[in-house]
Order: sequence, then structure tokens, then C-alpha cells
Amino acid sequence: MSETVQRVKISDLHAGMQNVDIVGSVVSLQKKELKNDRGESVYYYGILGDETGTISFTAWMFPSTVRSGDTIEIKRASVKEYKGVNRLYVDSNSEVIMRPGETVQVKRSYSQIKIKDISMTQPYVTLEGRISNVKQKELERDGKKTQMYYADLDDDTGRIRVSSFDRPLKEDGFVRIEGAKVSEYNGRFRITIGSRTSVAEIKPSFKVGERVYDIREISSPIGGITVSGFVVSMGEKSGLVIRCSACNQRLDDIHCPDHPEAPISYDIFAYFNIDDGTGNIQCTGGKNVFLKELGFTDEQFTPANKAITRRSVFSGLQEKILGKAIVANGDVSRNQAGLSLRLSSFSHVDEEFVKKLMTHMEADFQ
Amino acid sequence: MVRKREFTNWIFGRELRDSRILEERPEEDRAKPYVITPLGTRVRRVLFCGVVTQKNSEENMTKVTVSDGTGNFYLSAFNNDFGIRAKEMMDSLEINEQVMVMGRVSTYKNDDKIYFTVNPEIASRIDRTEMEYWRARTQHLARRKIYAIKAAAARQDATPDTLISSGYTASEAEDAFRSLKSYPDYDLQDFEAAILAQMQPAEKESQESAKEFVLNYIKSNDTDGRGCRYEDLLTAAQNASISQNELDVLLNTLGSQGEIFEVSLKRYKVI
Repeated sequence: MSETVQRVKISDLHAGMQNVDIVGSVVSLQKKELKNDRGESVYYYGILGDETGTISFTAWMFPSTVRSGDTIEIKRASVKEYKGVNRLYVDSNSEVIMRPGETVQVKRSYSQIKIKDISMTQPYVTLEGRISNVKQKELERDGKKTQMYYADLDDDTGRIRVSSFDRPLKEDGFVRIEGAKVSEYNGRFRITIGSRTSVAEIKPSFKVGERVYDIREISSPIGGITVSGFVVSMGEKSGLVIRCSACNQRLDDIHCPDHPEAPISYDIFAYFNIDDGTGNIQCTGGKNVFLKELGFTDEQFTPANKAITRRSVFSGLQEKILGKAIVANGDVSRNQAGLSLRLSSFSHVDEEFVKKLMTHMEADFQ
Repeated sequence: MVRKREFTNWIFGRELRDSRILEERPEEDRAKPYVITPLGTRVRRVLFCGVVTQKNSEENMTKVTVSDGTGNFYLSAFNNDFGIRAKEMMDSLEINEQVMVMGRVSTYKNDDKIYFTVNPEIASRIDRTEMEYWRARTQHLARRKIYAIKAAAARQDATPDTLISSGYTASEAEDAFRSLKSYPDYDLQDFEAAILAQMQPAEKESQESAKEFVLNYIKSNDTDGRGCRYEDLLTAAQNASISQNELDVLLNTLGSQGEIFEVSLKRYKVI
């Protein structure tokens, strides 16, 4: 019995549809490796767009030659609802065909959201925030020199990295960015200002300050946040890290295989879990975060200082942070083990923080 | 495969003490059972802070009692392969020190009553601010649960989804309905009053005067020579705005400090 194939546009898709045939442009494409009891597997996910809109898809098999921007035809796909949003599923019964030479104009639909709500299900977004840490770099693109601007964008919920091609970003300026493209790189979200994105200066209706989160509220990568909690475990491989001063490689020995004559330098790496009663999150931090806590200055923390050993650094970290209540600031990223907070600074919980927290929490009962 | 870390519940001693229900589980499941508390929390791992009020250290086992002002946690660590580090940590604790403990709850039943001990995984000395921090957060978590239970009880057509749409988390909503099912008659108001009535740092001085009050009362009310009766002491303490929980903590502390002793059950004398 032959099944009816439905050639449809994205705006006409609804949950429960089977045997869908669709032509669209790949807006984004990611690959994820899964390891579970049944072994290892790979799946692909991304966003497909056409002139009527965009839809997220999941594919258990996908041609390795397909890249973002390619036009493809998917045959015999199905549509299901996932977390309240329609999603296109490509399974072993489906077929993905490349359509080289064809272009599909993707209709961009974007709503204004806060930085904490960014996800890969919305490929284009509108954000308002403050620009800071602007850096400029010259790139060559298609044989043409281009200025690339990088910056941080902060709102009252978090921070995200912004890249802008040829359009300067003003330090400390508050802007509204309409139609920025969202992508995920190294487990963190970032947005790109392209030719179809508009940027306008605004008067902010929000304040950029400390963004204190309960751990249970953190569900995706987000930058520039503060969490607090007790350090309930510390990784056994935390402590002193020896590096080659020439290539900065982490060394197991005191000689770099590539630069045996180069002197070594000392660094610190610590990983631990903090728990705030609503959940726990793994944190990592380096020398910039822990050196002062261990009672050293940069000048003192060198191989010339014989008091520094792997054991002394590990014990020092254990004594200073394990079982203690801390306030941690940093950026959340996603890795294979889940979400992880990379610390930019930390402090011990003090009276002022407790007072602030109590005021914040009391608002729940007003 | 990434193993999910077992959830750690920040709870008060009173919540654990008032628990009467263990979650039913398949017989082949050898893991420790979850305790269902009056707030509907499923508890297997806990984190709490308090003052060490008793300690009994022996070669094979160390027992420590920690009071958080609402109730006691009874800790035990054994000198075996799994418990030796925990035992060392417990051995290093001193009476009256403030500590943070994270551990797993063990249960045993006797005459249909459930008793709880905590096998510590980590125990650490903390300062007054850290104690306040834990107390503030734990109060907040408990109060949110209490409000969720009240909201669930207030409407006949309430469902977990209606609670979630009112701003509660999925687990708070689940806990609320579990609480209503498991402890329909639990006195939430009394529980809330107990956790809110805890000593604040500024009230430390009043703790000293409460101690004096208890000592003096025991001294002058040993009328029959068999020791001052707990019931009399409780009535007098409550009249002096000292709650039963505070009195229990004070009695534990005074006992540990060697100022009083329990002559017979619930009878006290000053040394």
C-alpha cells in the first residue's frame, strides 16, 4: 500500500503529521554523541527554514556532506510536539537529498527575549543589553578585508558573547539587536550580528547588576551569573598544574617533550561541586581565582618556591573551600557531563551576601 | 554514561524527626529507602548545619548529635572501608562547634516507630555566617513547600500543573501532593512557627540568659530530691518565651558541658 506524501511548508506543519516532504535551507546543524547502557550512538539536530518560517529537527541519520546554508529536501519525515514546540523528526524511513544550486529565502521570525531564555530552538532573536569588552580584529573573507568586532552583551538576566561583521560596537552602549543569529560554540551560546540584523541605541528599561541564581534555575549555558552554596565535593585531580612556559601545555613531568629546555611554570586547576539546596553544579576554576585564597602572590607561586608541592596545593584548596559556603561568579557552559560553571571569581559567604539573599528570598512571600 | 548525582535535601531536624513514612520499593532494591517527610520531600541524602551537642567516640564507631535549633540529627560513622574518612572527620569535631554535614539517612524501625541516623559523607566546621546562610536558605525552601501544600489543599481542582503555573517548581508541586496524601493532618503552622522561631545571631545574648534560667530553675525546683521534672521545666521555659526545641537544645548542651545530668528519665539535677 502506498502512503500519501505531503509536500508542505513549515508554517503548515503540525504535530502528528507523518510522511512529510519538505524543502528548506539548513539554518544550523549540530551533532551529538550519546553514550548510554545500550552503547554509543550519534544524532543530529538543528534548524530548517523556508520562506514561511523555521522549525527544529532531530535526525538519527544525516548526510555528512550537508552544511549550514545548504538547501535540502527531506522525504518521509514526521512532526511531533517536544516541550510544547513542534519538531521535525528524520528517522531511518526518511530520506535527505541535497538540492545544490537551489536557494531558499528563510523567513526570519524572532521574538524579543532575555539572555537567560536563549536556546537553539530560536535561531534568530531580538535582545536588549549593554555592550562591553569590545575587541576588534581584521579578517579576510572571500578575499576581502573585514573588520570583526567581539563584545559581551549583558542584560538583567545574564551575559552572552556577540560577534559583529563590519559594524562597530560601542563600549558601554545600551542597544537593541533585532534578528541576531544564535549559535552554540564550545558549549556556550553566542549571537552574531549579520547584514540583516538591526542594531539601535536605546535607553535601558532594566539594570545590569549581580544576577543571583538558584542552581535549579540554570537550564542552559548562560554567562555572567552568580550562584552560592556549600562545596560538597572536590575532584581528586584538583591542585597544582605544571605547564611548559614556551607552549603552555600541561605537563605530567617537569619537562615538555617539545621544549625540553624551556622552564616550567605553575598553574592551578580545581573542580568541585556546589550545592544550594535546589540542586548542584560542577564548578571549575584556575589560578586567577584561587591563588589569593591560597595566600600566594604571582611572584611567590613559581617553581623556585620549594614550599609549593602538589600535595600542599591540593590540601590548601581542600582546607579553604571543601565544606565551605561560597559565592561563585562565572559563565555556565555545556559539556558531556551536563552544565558546568567556569569561575571568574569567588568569595566566601559573608553577612552582606546573606542579608541580600534574605531580602531576595523574602520577595517570594510578599 | 553520566550518572546523575543524588539530590541533596537541605532540611531541618524537625522535618526529619516528624517523618513517619518510608517509600515502598521493590524487594530486590537493596538501596536505602527514601524517607517521605511531612513536607512531602523524598529524602535519602541530607545537608544540614547545627551545633555539636554530644559526641561519643569509640574505636569502631563515632556517634555525634547535631542540633539545628528545631531538632537533632544523630550521626554515626564506622571504622570500616567506607566510613573511615567520615569517622576521622567526626572524631575531629568538638562539642559546641558549628558544623555542616552532608550524609545519607539510614532508617530502622522499632515498635512501628522509625528512627533515623545520618551516615556522614562530609562534615566541616563552619562559622556563624555560614550557619545563617544555611538557615536562611533552608527556611526559604521549607516555606515555599509549605505554601505549595497550602495552595494544593485550598482548591479541590488543584493539580501539579496549577501549582506550576502559580510559580512553584515541578518538584515542589509533586512534594505538595505527596505531603497531602501522606500527612493529611500534619500541623504546618506549628512547623512553620518552629523554623521561623530559630535563634538569630543578634539573639545570642538571650541564649546565655536562657541557659542561666534553665540552670537556676533546675537548681531551685528539685523539690523531692529526685531531680527537677522535665514537664515543670517545660512549662516554666515556655512562660519565659523559651520554646520546647530551644529547651531541648539547652538541656543537651548543658549535659554535654557537664553542668547538669539526667538522674532518671526526664529528671535533671545540677552538678
